[in-house]
Amino acid sequence: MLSSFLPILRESIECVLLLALLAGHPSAYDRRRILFAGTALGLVSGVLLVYVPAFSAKSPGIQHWIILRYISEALIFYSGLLLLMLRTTMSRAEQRHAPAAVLLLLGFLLFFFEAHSAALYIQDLTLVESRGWVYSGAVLGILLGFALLALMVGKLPALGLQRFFTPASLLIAVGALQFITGGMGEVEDGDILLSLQQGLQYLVEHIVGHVQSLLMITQHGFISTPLSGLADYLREERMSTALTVALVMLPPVLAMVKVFSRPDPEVRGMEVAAERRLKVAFFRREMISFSAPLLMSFMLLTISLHAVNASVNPLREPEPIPVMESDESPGAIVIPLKDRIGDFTDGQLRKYIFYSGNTRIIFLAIMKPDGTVGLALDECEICKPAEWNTSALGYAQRGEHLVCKYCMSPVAIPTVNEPGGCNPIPVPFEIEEDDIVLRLDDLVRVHEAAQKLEKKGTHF
Amino acid sequence: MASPWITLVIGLLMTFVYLVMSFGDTPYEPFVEFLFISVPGLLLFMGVILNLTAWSVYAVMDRFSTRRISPESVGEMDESVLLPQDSAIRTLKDAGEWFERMGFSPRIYGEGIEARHGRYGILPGIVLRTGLSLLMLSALMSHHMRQSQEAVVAEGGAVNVIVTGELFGMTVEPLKIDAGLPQEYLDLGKVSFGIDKISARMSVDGEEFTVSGGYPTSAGGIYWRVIHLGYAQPVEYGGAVVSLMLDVFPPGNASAHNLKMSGGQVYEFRLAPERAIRKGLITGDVFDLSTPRYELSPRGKKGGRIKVRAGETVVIDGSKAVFGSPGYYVRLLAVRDPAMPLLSAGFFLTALGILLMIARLFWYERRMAAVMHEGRVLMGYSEEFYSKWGIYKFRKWTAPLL
Repeated sequence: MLSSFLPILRESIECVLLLALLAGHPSAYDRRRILFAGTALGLVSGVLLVYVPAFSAKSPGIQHWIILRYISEALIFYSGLLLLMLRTTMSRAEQRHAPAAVLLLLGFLLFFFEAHSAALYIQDLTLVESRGWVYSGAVLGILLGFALLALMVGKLPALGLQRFFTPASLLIAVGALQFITGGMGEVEDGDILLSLQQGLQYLVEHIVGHVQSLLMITQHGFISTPLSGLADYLREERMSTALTVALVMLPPVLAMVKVFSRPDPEVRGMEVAAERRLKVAFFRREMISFSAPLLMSFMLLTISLHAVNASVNPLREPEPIPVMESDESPGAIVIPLKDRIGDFTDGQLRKYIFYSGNTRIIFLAIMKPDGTVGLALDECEICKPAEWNTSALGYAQRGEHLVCKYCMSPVAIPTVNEPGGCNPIPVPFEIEEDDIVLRLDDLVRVHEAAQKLEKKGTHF
Repeated sequence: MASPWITLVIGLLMTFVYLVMSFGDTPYEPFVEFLFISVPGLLLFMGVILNLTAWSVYAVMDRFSTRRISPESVGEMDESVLLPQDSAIRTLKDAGEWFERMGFSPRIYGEGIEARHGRYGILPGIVLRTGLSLLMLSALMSHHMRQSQEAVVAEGGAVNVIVTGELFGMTVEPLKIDAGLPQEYLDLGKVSFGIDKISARMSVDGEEFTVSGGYPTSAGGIYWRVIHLGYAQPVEYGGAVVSLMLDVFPPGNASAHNLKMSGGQVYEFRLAPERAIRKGLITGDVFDLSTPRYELSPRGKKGGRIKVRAGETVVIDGSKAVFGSPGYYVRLLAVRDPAMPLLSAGFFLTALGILLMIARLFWYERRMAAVMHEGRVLMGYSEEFYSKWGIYKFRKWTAPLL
């Protein structure tokens, strides 16, 4: 029962909170029944599409459902931008009732895809668990979610949402929240921002290729082509990332610009200074109130984009390989540049762990682009994670950089072996034939010296 | 017709179509087909082009037309102020002098005066929109009118085998191919093999011109470009001389050929390194590119590898084969496309427009106007961008006049 109750309750609460946000705004409150009717319609339609065989047989696959959900979320998000462009001022007097059709559609979109995903999940669950318990849990989850709404409805006007939200910023905020809460992780695997970035990457690559083909300068494997540098630059992932950021941040940023581009009210004609101050103070307070939800949307989107970027460029941190004193070279650790564990020419970060008595010494090694090797302790002179955060000590690799796991500073791989800053603390070593030879004395000495350093890093 | 709204609506429609097509694996190609071939797609595409053009025309007309200055038009500016009767400015003449002191040159328009700065600030937008329109229009033309053909031609080596091609019914004969390759190439296992200056002197139906791997060359109404290069290796066996087009660049690449003397056995040709050297910790292979050495390996068989240098004789499957001095072959792309000049112009203008748009940060219109209203001077001020700061500026300027 819990396996159906908890996820359905979670989804219900997510949707209900968004619904309450919309219903609580004066532009929708008087017509909230229409909004709720759309919600009911979305809920029922989503469930019927799964459970009525005539519908489910013709229903598209889950991937197509995900795309449709993304379109729905984008529609809500960008309708805020459209509203912003349609309304030339941000005055409260401008706030009118939202059209009934719009409210019906909003209510429908808020629940339809969630209901469909939830129904799919419940349907799958009944294959492995008792139907009675599964359905009971799901119904209970929905009822509890809606009970929350019923409790909130009467109190919504008291929240005074109009102090913070214009209809445009409300839609932007709801859209941004849907980007994060939309879908059901148990059924779907995906993220709208990641999909957007990948889609833009595909589109940019093809448009660039198309233009090159039209200009007869299609790139070649080894014949240098005019403007190939520009084409490569445009094709880079950073371009699609920049486009994604621009597209996603456009609505909240424009809304913020609109809020902050209003000049202070004209007070030159007012005789009483206190009145003048009051008028300006009221105006500025209103500006701050209006900007708060937009800032929240901006922050949420920033975090989501960061998560997307991190998932596209994951940190790679290898497990340390235990090493011991070499039998052939007493007093030294010998690491072959090429052995069954791998070949250093792959440019991948490697970590090693050496036990000096009870002390663990972790060091890293990597081949630099110029073919030389960098070897250093897996720590720097600055960063000192707290006791509870020791897993943040050391480095991981992201593309062509090492990244300090604590302060997230990127370190250019060619600079490994160079001391200072957030660079890993270098350890002397030699290359003999095809082996890295590291004197134990040097390793222990550098490690001990590093532990005596008064590291200043306190941020996390 | 001219409106950013129409562009937005068309853009949204296009986005919708693209999203529908993204249900397939490769949405770009069907999307281009939709835009360039289907009637709704063509209407949308032409709608964007016409709207961009009309937008520019409208912007020019708006910026350079003489508009009537009236109290209403001044009142609609970002900020306006009705000066008191005892103000230092009581007439339009006073206002004109004040405008000049503020750095604005006023002109008389109907009942009032107006001064403008940054009137030409629309130029970057016009250049960009014109470039985009041209690029889109020429892309459409090119899609329907472009004819492309490719041919492989090879210069003669020591045994003087010249391979001619036929493009658009014309005989193409290579006179000289200069690949600009170094004598030796050190392969460090990374993608570093590149040819910067490749040129091929051609004779096409008697007309001589040089084609390169860079921008296409226009000759005889056709655009030419070198799109591939390899060795044209003459091989003499059984009394016959053939020229093998060896696609062995970059070193390591295999080129398969059916040597008829060996019972139809297919051999894979690769460039064989001369020697290995070390640079740092990386081992690299050195290849002789002027007198290349090949490694031939029979496809589908283990062993039987043969190494032979150009100019040497080798026995393959019991038959003697003489490898002559190699020349080069190039693959030529020939395109007949009336839209090519438009494409280039559109691309250039779009790139220029994007660069010029940076100037819009500080190149924008500022308008100041004045008109007599109820016996007093009504002054107004507008800025195309940053109107908030414009308003503050105007308030500061007019404060002493109130």
